[in-house]
Amino acid sequence: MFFYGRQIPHATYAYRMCNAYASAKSRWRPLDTRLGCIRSLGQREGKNAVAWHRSKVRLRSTRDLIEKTWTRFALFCVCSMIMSSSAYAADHSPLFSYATPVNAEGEFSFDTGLFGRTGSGGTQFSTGSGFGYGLRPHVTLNAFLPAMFGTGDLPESRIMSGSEWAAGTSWRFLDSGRGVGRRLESTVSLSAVAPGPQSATGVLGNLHRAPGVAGSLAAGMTSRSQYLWVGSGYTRFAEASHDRRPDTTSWSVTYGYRPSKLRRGVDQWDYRGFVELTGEHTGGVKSGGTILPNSSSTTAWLGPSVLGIFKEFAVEAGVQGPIIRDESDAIYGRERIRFGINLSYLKYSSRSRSR
Amino acid sequence: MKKIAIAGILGMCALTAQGQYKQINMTVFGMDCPPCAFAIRLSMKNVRGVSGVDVDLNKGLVTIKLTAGSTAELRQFNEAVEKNGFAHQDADVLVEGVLSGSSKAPLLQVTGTNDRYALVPFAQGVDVASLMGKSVIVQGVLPQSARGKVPVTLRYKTIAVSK
Repeated sequence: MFFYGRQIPHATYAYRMCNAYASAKSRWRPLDTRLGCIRSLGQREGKNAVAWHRSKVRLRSTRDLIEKTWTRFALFCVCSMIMSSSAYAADHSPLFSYATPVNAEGEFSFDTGLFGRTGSGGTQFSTGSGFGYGLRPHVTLNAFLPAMFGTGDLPESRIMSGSEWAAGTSWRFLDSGRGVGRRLESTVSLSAVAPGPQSATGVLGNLHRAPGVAGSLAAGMTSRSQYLWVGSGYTRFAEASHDRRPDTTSWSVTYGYRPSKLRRGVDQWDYRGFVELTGEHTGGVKSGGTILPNSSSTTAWLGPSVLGIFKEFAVEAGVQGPIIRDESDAIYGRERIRFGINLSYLKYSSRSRSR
Repeated sequence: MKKIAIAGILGMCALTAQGQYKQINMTVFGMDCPPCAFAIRLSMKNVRGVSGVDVDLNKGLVTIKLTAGSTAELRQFNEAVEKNGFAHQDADVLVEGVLSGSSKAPLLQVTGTNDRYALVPFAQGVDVASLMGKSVIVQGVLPQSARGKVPVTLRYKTIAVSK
């Protein structure tokens, strides 16, 4: 689910970057062998050659260290930007809605996806990098760095991500195993939201931006055959230079089903379908100290999504159409469709606390 | 010579570390999808002495097979379940250990581990008096324990002298 929006583009690129990082790391390794080189030189050419080579190696190693540090930092940023969608989804969840799953202890999750909102003002795509780490069995740290392209002049949304970066914690405070495959659980999330380097489009693009906070609560039931989640979230931004992005209240109800033929084993693809109902109410846009008239909006969206999982990989796609739309066409245009595709990779921890 | 000596010591250790859990069939609640099972399997495979782990999602059953001489303890498997956010239930075990205590209150010390259970018969009619002090193989059920705990009793179905 993605109230911060979970989007991120090409997972393959992310993995390529990670591989590049790995190969770069292996390239630095030869530095460790310099003593071996010096020793052999010393044997061949005497102590002066050793000293000369030692200073040369030291210089090179300093340069490499600087290069290595910057390369690592750059690769980390790139990987973070590209690996997307979040820990909030953690691969078990519906595409657009709030849900309860969190990462296992020591488990990393990376998501990448592409989300879009199409309306009369154009199509706005969003993508981003989601990262989650299971700190404890029921506590997950999340970070999400979205990117946006295209213009839609669309209203604020926390279901579909904008350009805000977010980081926070999810805590599954209720977790009750009620039977084989069955769980009842509730999760609360709290995040800090900060403006990213990109500004929004349309009315929201003219505002001075400030950080905000986002909170959500989700509860639900899982089983081998059916899923049901309900959730709600609220986001509030601070004021900056008499401007303020609108407060947003979001909610969702999701029903999921896995047909009996698809209740298969660990080493096979697992599929399930969802029907997702989401809604949002955004408050008025404050610009120059005054609330813009007709700038609030209320919408509800309904649509299907499908989730496929194979071991640590998951792919999910869905689409939604509006069933309620109370927003000013003059300010925002008419939003007609929302869609998304998300790829997840989970890095499970094989660590056992006591071996 | 040094290698031979080390190999000899390791061989002696393997011989003396007889007895342990042979197989554990643990029921786990809450696993609804393959990633849940995959995570459990990975965690348990990482416990030293585990030779194989099978997970049946539709039955919620995790089957753990252990190597000869394994020193894995039940606590480690419970932790593997807990850290992935699930709930362990009863576990059917095939375990080898030494019988101690008295014939009315027999205790099973699982060899090579710190696990110790009070033996309770699943059904009446099994006399363990003649097995006291001997190494035995027990098949039985370890009841569900609280999070972070291990059960203190083993309800045995069969018990026989270990060969």
